[in-house]
Amino acid sequence: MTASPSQTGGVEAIVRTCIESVASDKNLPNAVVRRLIRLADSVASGELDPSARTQMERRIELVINGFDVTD
Amino acid sequence: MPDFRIRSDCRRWFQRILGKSDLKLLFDPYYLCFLIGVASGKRTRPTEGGIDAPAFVDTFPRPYDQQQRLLLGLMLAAELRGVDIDVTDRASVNEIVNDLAGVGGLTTAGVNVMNEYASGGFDELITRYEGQEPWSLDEFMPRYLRILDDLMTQGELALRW
Amino acid sequence: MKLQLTGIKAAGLRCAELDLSFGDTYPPQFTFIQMPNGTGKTTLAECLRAALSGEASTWDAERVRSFQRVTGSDGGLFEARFSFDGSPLAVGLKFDFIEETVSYYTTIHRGRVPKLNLPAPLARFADPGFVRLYIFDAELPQELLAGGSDRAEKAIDAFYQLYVLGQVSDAIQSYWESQVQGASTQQGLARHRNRLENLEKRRRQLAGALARNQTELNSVEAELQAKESELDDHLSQVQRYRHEKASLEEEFRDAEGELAKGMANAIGRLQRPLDAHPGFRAALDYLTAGLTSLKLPESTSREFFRDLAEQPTCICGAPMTADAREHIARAAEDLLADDAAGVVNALKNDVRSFQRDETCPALTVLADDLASLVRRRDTARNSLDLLVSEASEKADEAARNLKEHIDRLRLRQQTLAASVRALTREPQPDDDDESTCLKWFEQEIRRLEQVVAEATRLVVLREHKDDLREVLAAATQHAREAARRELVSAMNQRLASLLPGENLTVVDIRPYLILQGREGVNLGAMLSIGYSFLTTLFERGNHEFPFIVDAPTMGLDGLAREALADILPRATRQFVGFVLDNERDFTRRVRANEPDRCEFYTVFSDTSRNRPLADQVPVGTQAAEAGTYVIRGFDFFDKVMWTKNGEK
Repeated sequence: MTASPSQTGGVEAIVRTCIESVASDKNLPNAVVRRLIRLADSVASGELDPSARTQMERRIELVINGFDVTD
Repeated sequence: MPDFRIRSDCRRWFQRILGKSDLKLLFDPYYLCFLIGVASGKRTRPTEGGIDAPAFVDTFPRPYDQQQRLLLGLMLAAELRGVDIDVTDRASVNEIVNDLAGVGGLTTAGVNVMNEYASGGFDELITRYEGQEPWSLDEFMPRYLRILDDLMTQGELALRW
Repeated sequence: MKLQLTGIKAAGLRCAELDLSFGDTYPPQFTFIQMPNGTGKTTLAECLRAALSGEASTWDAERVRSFQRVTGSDGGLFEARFSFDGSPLAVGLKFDFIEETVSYYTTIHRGRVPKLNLPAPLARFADPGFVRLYIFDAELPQELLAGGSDRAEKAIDAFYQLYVLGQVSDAIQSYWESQVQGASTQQGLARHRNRLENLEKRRRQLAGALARNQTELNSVEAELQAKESELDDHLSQVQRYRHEKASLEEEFRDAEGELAKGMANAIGRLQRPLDAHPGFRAALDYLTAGLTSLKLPESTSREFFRDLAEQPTCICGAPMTADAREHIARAAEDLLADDAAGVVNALKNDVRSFQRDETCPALTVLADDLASLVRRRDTARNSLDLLVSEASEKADEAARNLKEHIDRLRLRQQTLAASVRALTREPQPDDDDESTCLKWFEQEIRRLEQVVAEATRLVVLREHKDDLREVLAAATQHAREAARRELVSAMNQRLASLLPGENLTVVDIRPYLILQGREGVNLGAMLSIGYSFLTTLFERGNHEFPFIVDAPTMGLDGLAREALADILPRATRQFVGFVLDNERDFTRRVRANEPDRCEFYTVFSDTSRNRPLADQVPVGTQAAEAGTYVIRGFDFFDKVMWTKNGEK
């Protein structure tokens, strides 16, 4: 993560940190955490509307696929 | 000419007697099923799992090429009987003939109808074979001849007007 | 997201008529608007809040009336102009005092729509509670500290967008539900897996049996061949046997030959429709006859000419001679058949001209013939076997033993061949887990593996879904607490500078601001606390909102005012304060801190009450058409006296 959230308009830094720490406690794969945060960023910045069902499903699929990524 | 299609289950059913002596081509069992189809008036769409059965040839092989117009004639007779059209009803006959054939031979519709009689005929054949499969040509041929004859002489199924 | 107030306009409402635009190109950091009581500060503040929260759609008739000018006006207009992330945005409220209704309009870029249509990022904050956090008056700080209000906690959620995590979590649940429609449960999966295991076991058994049988069959057949050959050699030592065998073999070859011919003949007949069955011949003949009686004159028809040639006289009346016939025949050849007529004619031609087997025996007869040819061949083969058998009987023991061995092998071969046939047959509809059809098992296993894979996928998906939702819920919780802790600590620092010596400490923000051990605080303290919370909060967010405050320092003493003036420049990018004349120490301090970033307006209506103010207006300045004075500039702002006697 290079850009800070206030520049990109995504979730607050504090929220991002909490997601990362809770996810690591749960041993979630890195790919999943990254994609989950990107999803939250998109919703927070208004880029993705949570009621846009098809797009949301697509993005959630990407997060779920992260479980199969070996990195 | 468009593709002739034979169902995979039909091909498998004939596999033990295909390739022996006089039943060399895949068209042979196809044709035998077609005769049964015309004799019984049975037509079904040859599909497998929702898609068309595989194509295997797109022209009449020898010696069927010589007889193709007569085969058209059989189909024509079956179709006219099937929809109860009098052979003297010129307009309807013209329509059906135009559907099935043109100057170059059978049309796509014509080949499709032929495929359907072959498919329906196969269904009728295995019904009359009572769930068994043919093991040799010696055993199959007499049985087939009797089945065909039976169909042709049974009251409702004989070709008549 | 950055929101700035760039101007306000009001007409026909219970406030001064005005149309103010802040700054020349962009609004300054501080805009102070000095308005005496009765100028309509309340009205303006309420309209501003409504513009950003959407609450005007809930106003009833009585509420709407409360905005009407005392002297009675038919209609009124309020418009707030903003810069939203650099683009112009205007929200307006149109009042109809006859119908007692109010409606919104929104202007973005050049388009105007007759409803409230805030851009998505801003619309998320269009909550009446939230809007009161940045457009407020002295009541707010009290509310922040009051039990029973969760304003403070909600503010945190809104600012840190913690609701986003909840939205994502809900969407994940919806996704899961849509995937799972009609699928197997965990129990179903276990059942399928069990059955799959059993099927596979059975399949392996059958496959093993097939392999063994096939191998044995091959070796049995090889041995059979060898032994038969051996026996033959043995017996052939006897001349009589040789002769008989030769003649029986000839008979067998003959029979086989005849059978082959018969078979070819039968198949050949079937391949000729006219011979295949009398019924086909009859149908084709009938068809041809019927079609012949059709007149098909659409195109010239070869058929016509052929028919004509067979007439005794030509159509012209002349007798049909051989020459005439030939002539007609040639002409017919030149013509092209070109449509259905051509096809039908060709068919009729074929029916007429094809050779027919005149005898055309019934198929049953043919079948019987074939059957008897098969019998003849089988009989010949049996005779050969019989010969071998008898010869072995009469021959020596070695021959007899060989024969017995051969017979056993034959039996074994038949059994094995039958078994192989049964194992390799095609699946039938009534096959099940007990059957012996290998292909059925392979097919069923493939199908079941698909089902299991799908069910497994869903079980795994559920685990992932649950994990993700737990993470999001826990992260929300943690983030809320972390935000609270951080805010509390930053707030207390700020409080220390706003109210030094008071030792006020905020302990928590859940759901309202909780002070350490204090029973109650005075208004000044409350305001300070409120400001420290708001400025701390807004400082942290990703989003810039303007503070629009009515009487910002009311209740604060001089020291607190100074402190506030020092804090504000850092805490907010835009501050719009509607001030009274007794807040001048505050405004002066702000101006001293940021001289280039302030703008000052004095606004009042041209009424008798405000005469003392109007008298001080610089010469040449007129009230605006609707009777409102708008004087821009710090001098007038700071020096104008509001009292009759010129004393403050």
